[in-house]
Amino acid sequence: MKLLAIVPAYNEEGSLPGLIESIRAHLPEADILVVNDCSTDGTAGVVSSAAGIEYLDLPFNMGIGGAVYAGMKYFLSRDYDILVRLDGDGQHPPEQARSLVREVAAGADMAVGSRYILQGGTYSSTMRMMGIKLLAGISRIMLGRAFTDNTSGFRAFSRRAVECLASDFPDDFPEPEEIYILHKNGFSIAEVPVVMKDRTAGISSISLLRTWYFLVKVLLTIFVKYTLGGKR
Amino acid sequence: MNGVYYMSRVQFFAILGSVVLILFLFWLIRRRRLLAEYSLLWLGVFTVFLVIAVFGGLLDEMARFFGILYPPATIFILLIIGIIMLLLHFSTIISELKRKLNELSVRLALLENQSRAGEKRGSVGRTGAEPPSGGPAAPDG
Repeated sequence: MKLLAIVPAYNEEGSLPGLIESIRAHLPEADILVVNDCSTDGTAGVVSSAAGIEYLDLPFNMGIGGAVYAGMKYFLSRDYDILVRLDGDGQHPPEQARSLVREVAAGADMAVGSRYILQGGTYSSTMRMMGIKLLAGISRIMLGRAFTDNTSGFRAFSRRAVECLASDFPDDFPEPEEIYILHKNGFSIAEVPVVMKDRTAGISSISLLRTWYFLVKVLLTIFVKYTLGGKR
Repeated sequence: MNGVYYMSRVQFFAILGSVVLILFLFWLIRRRRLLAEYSLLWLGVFTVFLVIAVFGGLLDEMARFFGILYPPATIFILLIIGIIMLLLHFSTIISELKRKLNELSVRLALLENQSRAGEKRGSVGRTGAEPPSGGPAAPDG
C-alpha cells in the first residue's frame, strides 16, 4: 500500500517544518506532497529547501479546494493507493492520521476524522457548532446517515474514491460535498474519532462572514446538486 | 395629429438606434473584438428592439396581452429580461473559464514538479515520471 500525505498550505512558513517532521515520525512510509497555494510569505522557500518531500507551486491562490484537487491530481499521476490530507496550519495532528489510513487500508473508501464522536469535543464557536449540527441533520435527512463532522478536512481516501472526486471536484469548500458525492456514488465512508488542535482563538468578523458564506454555499450546492434526481 | 408625429419621431430614433447597435455588433465581430458565439444573444436582443421599433403597434399588443396598463413600460420589461439573460449567459461563461483556468493551473504545477524531478534525476538518477519534453523550466522557489 503506497501512501501519499498531501499538505495544502497557504502562508504556513511557521508551522510547516514541524508538521513535516511530525508526519515523517508518525507516517514514516508516506511520501509527502506540500501544495503551496501561492503563499505570500516564505512558505515556498521552506518547502523547496526541505529535503525528501515533493511540492507543487500553484500559480495563483486557488483556495483549499484547488489545493486539494492539485494534490489529488498528483496522487493519480503516480501509483499511490491511499491519500491522506493534513492541513498546513497544523490543526490535523499527524499522530492521529494512522487511524484514518488504517480504515482505508481495511476497505473504506474515505475515512473522515470527526471531532464530535468522542464526548467533550467543542472546538468552535457557538455559531460554527450550530452550522455543524445543521449539516449533520441535513446529511441524516438526505443521505440517511448523520455524518457528525461534515466540515472536517482531516481525511484519508482510497484510490477509487480520489478518481471519482477528481472527475468533478468542488471548487471552494470541498469537505461536505465530498461526503455527498461519495455516498451518492455508493462508496463506503467511515468516521473516525479524532482530536484536532484548534488554533482559532476568538472569531473575527471576517471569519464570521466566511462562516455564513460557507454555510449558504454548501447548502445551496447540496440542495441543487444532490436532490431531485441530481446524479452526483 | 401631434401625437402621431411624436410617435413616428420616436420610431425613427428607435429604428436608428437598433440599426446602429446591430452594425456596431457586426463591426466588433469583424475586428475580432468579439467571438461570434458570444454575440448571438446580443444580436437576438437588438433584433427584438428593431422589430419593436419597426412595428410600433406590437408594443401595445404585447402590453394588452400581458395586462400591462402603461404600454411603454413593456419596453423596459423586455429590456430587463434581455439584460438578465445576457448576465446569466456571462456568468456561465465565467464559470466555465474559471474551471478551465483551475485545470490549467493544476497542470502547470504538476508539470513544474515533473521537470524538477527530471532535473534531479539527471544528476542523482532516481526513478520518477518522464520529464516533459520542451516543458516549462522550473522556477527556483
